[in-house]
Amino acid sequence: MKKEILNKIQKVVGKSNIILQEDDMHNYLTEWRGVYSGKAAAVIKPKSTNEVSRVLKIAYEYNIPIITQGGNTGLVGGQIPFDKNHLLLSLEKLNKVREVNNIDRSITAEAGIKLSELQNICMKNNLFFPLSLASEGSCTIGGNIATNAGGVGVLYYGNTRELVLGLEVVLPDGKIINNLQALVKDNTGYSIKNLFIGSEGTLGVITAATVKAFPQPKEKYTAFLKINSPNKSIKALRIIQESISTPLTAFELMNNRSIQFVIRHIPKTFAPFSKFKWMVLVEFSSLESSDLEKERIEKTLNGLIDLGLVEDAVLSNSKSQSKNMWKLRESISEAQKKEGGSIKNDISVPIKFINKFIHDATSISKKNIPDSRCVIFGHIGDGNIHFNISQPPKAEKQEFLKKENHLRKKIVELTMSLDGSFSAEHGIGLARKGDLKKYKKDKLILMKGIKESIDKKNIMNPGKIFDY
Amino acid sequence: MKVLVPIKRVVDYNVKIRVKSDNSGVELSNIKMSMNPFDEIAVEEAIRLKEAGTVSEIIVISIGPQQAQETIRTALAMGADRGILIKTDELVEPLNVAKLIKGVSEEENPEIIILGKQAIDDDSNQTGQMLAALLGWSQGTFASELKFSDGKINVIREIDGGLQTIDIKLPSIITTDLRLNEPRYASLPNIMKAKKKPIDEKSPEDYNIQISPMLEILKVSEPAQREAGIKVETVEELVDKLKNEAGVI
Ligand SMILES: Cc1cc2nc3c(=O)[nH]c(=O)nc-3n(C[C@H](O)[C@H](O)[C@H](O)COP(=O)(O)OP(=O)(O)OC[C@H]3O[C@@H](n4cnc5c(N)ncnc54)[C@H](O)[C@@H]3O)c2cc1C
Repeated sequence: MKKEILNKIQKVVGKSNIILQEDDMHNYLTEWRGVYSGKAAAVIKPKSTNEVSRVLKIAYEYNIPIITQGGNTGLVGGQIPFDKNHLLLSLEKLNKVREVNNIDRSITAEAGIKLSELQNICMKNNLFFPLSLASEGSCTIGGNIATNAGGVGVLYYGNTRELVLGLEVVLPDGKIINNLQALVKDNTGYSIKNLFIGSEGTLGVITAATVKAFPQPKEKYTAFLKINSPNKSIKALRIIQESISTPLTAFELMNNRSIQFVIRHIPKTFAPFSKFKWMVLVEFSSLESSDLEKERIEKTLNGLIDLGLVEDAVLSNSKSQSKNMWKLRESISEAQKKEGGSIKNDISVPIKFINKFIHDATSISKKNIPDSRCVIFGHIGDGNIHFNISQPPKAEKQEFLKKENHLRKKIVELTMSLDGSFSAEHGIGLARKGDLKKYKKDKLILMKGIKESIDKKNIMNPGKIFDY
Repeated sequence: MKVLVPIKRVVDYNVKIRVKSDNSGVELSNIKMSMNPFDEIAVEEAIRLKEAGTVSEIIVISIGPQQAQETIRTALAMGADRGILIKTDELVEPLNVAKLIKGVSEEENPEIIILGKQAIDDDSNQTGQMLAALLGWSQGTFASELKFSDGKINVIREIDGGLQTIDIKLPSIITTDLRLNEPRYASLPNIMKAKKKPIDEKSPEDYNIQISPMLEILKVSEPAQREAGIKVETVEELVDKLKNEAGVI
């Protein structure tokens, strides 16, 4: 890239906010699993919306592609540039809170703020921000919005899309569009904000957002249910929702294998049951703390045992125990990484097909790789299953991964035959482009039209979602 | 052999506590309360002893307000057999607690009393030791492992910078340290059963004890706030700040 361009950009952000040495870019160009590893002309770290706008103006003038990055936790390669002539725009320094608004119950923050920090600031102000994912210590609210992240609170609070009230974005030519008002109702034409939610950096840069906050729950009731089949867990879910008015804020299914891996690799974890096939982590969040409520929950869960839907159950009696329960759920990805190669599928199907999906996908895995180990977990109340296949214990990782394309293809075929989605939470990025082309042709054409009208020069994250 | 396990209802370990604005104590209204974590370990150890056949009955005692009954129910749900609530709304101090436990002990005749090494609300770390003195029993404090052999307990103790192994003769006082065990979750069927287990309600007067505090709390204050760190961009800046702002070089 021409020195002159980089100099101009350096003038905008300052010398200490631009990385030109390849060695120093490593943390931005690879992601935690080491699946993708990229190239870039520079990493640029603007500190304000104005700086983002000025950088984009320069890039627009010289036709230079911009790859926006938040916390670099994306799982489909969307945040990584792959070209020596592209610029990586890291928003890690665009991270201030602009307003905590207790009256509208909203918070306005810049895109690069870490999700966990946003949660903490809400807590300090007696508010609650319900978006919660295992990557919350690193991912950013901008990245969450750009990927419409899901996570464990979706069952009750919805996806990121449901939590965003307004956005500030910078368009490819540097123009700033400010739409940050905390309005619940705003029917003034197309919803531009919704276009940017889930856009994965292909339309512009999200620089700030106003998001919804909620009253802080006072009491949480956390439990593990031991269950024989996914089908029974769905029946249990419906009974719980029909009989308890306390918000059910988590219902996370896990198979035995996922918990086995956690206990093997993560210190200070232990299984709540000596033998089990499936387990569900259940959590209720309440604004009050009453014996009556507790008793109702205990009674209902116990009723599930009497009905034969649940084999056994344990209830936490302190915050520490709740934390330990969550630790089991949240350590699954990390533990699975230590078991060698894995083939990941983040799919969703209508809830009525979950049992069939799990059954058939397990058969597909066993048929193709007899000793493969299925790690199955997810937000079952949303119909969202992470169906991850770990390599056989003694297999060669590379040899195993050779089967990835074939196996993924089969599992996506199964998903689509059940009216499902081949990417429930993690987006398209690079990894799911092929599936999008294959299964969503008409939608892709419509999306392409929108992309071309906003990003005429195709410089916002080119090659992601769409072919270059 | 009977075992007695005193348990205390305290502010949950994971709650960020706030000091009252008049510095008279910590804010307790609308705050999550749980069993003192060290007591939870004591209950777990008693249950393991029962499962191993060493112990025949587990009696938990709590001294505190009516709500301490919830804490007793939790212990019963984990596997204790019955409970005794000695009701008082006064602030309880180690010596009074030790005297009351002694009172219960004289009625129940246990051979071991397992306590937490301290309660996380006042961190006194005195009750077990005082009780051993009042009863004239042997004591194994800060236990991280217990082995029973006829009439004796082999106790591994956590001491500063290492471990100490001692043999003590029954009857004994044990106080628990963190590494002794990992307390179990209460299972739902056991929670339901625990609702039917008996809890006796008593008052300090039943044991001829007056709960009058001997300590007067003058002031409770938050620890000094640590100032947030800063990031410097260059070595020169670091040296400059150390010299001119921190004044350390
Ligand atoms: C352990 C682990 C657990 C996870 N669990 C979940 C889960 O439960 N649910 C879920 O949905 N996801 C999950 N993820 C995926 C990931 O954390 C989310 O996609 C997250 O929202 C990405 O945020 P980020 O800041 O890291 O974005 P990045 O990875 O930096 O970027 C992701 C995409 O968004 C774009 N982007 C980022 N910031 C902006 C911006 N300000 N403006 C425009 N575009 C931008 C990038 O170009 C890229 O395409 C998990 C990831 C890990 C590692």
